Amino acid sequence: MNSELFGEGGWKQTARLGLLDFDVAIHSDLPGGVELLDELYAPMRHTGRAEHSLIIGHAFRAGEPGFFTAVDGRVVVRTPAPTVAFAHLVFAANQQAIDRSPNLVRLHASGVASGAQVIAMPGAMGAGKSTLAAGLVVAGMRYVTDEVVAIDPASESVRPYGKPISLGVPPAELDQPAWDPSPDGRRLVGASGLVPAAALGAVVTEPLPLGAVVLPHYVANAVTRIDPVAPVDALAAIATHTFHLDHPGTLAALARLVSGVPCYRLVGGSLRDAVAAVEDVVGTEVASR
Amino acid sequence: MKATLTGGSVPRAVVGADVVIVDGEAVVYAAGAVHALNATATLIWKSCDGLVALDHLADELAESFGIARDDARRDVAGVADELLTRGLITVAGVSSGDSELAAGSIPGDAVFQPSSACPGCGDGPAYEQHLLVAAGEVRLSVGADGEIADALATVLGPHVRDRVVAPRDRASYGVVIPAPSRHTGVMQLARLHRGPDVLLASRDPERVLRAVISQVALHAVPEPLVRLEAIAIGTGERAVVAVAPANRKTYARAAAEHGLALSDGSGIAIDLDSMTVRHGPVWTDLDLAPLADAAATRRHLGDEPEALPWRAMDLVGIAVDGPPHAASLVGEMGSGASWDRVPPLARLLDVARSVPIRSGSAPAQIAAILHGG
Repeated sequence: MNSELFGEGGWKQTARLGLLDFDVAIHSDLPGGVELLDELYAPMRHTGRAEHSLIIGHAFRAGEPGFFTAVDGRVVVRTPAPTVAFAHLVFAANQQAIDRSPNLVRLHASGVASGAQVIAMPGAMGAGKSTLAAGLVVAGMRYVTDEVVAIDPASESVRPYGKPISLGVPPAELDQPAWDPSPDGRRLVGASGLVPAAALGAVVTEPLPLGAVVLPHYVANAVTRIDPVAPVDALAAIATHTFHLDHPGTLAALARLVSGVPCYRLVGGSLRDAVAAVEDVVGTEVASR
Repeated sequence: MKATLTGGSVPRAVVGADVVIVDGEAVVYAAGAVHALNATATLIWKSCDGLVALDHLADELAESFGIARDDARRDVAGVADELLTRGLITVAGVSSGDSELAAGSIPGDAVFQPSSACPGCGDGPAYEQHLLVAAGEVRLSVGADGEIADALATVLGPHVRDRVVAPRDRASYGVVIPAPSRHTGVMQLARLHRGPDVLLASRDPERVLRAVISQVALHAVPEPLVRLEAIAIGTGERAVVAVAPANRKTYARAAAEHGLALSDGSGIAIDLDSMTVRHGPVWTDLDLAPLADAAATRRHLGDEPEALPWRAMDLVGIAVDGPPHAASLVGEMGSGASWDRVPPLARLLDVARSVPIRSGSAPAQIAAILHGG
């Protein structure tokens, strides 16, 4: 549909999206842009009018044609490369989802659902969060998120955040996702490895309780092993990967939410072995709780 | 430098730490880091109340747990050293080496670090000093040599909160004002930088000093002004807002041929109530005389086109390079990541609705707008 902000002239907007508590629609004049975004963010579509706006479109700068990305009118990048503008858009959407959801305890973690419980996998960039989540979803679990496991302290449940999954260059062990964007969409996605979560498998759309925590640590060629982590070490490790821990009360809320939740440390270099290890140990544990 | 504790040291657990105890072991969040303490460290840390010396604490623990006093003192000293290194305890007169002001920041506020339009260009010039300036709710660092920093500090007065000598961080803004020299082989222009980017290069040092003041002031533009990352071009009492040109020098010369002058720096503000465009320090009356005095000691390399004077001018139109509608205004002039507080989109759309937008920002096209063409 035409953009509410910019009307005619090629500007269109996505459906209203609920990225955690970030209520947004994305406006674009790029060919195929809105269609691509609607597909990537499909699990979070809502009806109604959005409170915030993300914008990606054509812009001139000093006479040169290019692209820009903006959040509520704040330009975050101007660039001659559409892939760069698009990468900033995806990053900004995620960052706004984190920053504008202050009432949720937000772990820097991927998440999948085994049965009716969520397995959170916190870790730093490069730890293997997204790849492990993708592997588990392809193996039959449901996708929750690849970046932010957000827990509502009131209901003690994990809010689904089915953002597109960012795999970079997927490991050979992970079959290529069954997704083929349009040529216009490919111009924007580039070589980012971004795919809609639904291309991997089922996606969670309802809140679910936290069932287990796995701390992944990818080490090339390492033998896979998974070990339980003592409660105090688990809390410290999870806290290290918690956004906005400086907000008063966050540490205490986190401690309450992960109390009694089994935690494991997973080290390995093989996705297949890592998936099997999580299925064996955590899957059994979650099923028995 | 490694801090040194003695048995007589009286430590206190750091104020403001967030702590959770799990099975007698503490997880502590303090100074931006998470620490897991074992049971012994937790007990010692909780005992650091600013009243008891380490040796006395060790003696109490030795008695309570039935261990040798020397062993207890050694263990307590080791744990206390670790706690101090991690910033979890403080001891009067002993520093962990990471005091809040050590890095030159203003406590509780992040100093704005500019992104660069030139990835890979590095951090920009190294400055002798950084002035840490409070501009509204924003914290900026402004780099300069010592004498120029003195002049800027005098002008900015109480807005300067601190000064860092030999700073390590990238400056929010900085000025390089060449000193007089008998060497005439290379003309070094005075420059205003944002990170590595050059916002202005001029033959006139005072112009650059005025521009950095203007740039700082634009971070604190008050309501109902709307700030845009753009320049103003005008003559007399009328001005048009346009995207800053890639080659300002060539553009300024072309504008001068049409009798037009440009604002310096990379930002302007629009007052939608009075439909005027403003640049310069719009938030306070500053005495700029020290800038002229400082500039007089530096190289003035000759005349160049005059800058637009610092006063409110009637806003006649906005010139964009793309299609003449609101999206071009946002995309070309929306405040960039280099700005901290930004106008909400609604305000930008107010601007688009209130001001005629035209395609084309060449000086001839601007002149046509100004002259009613």
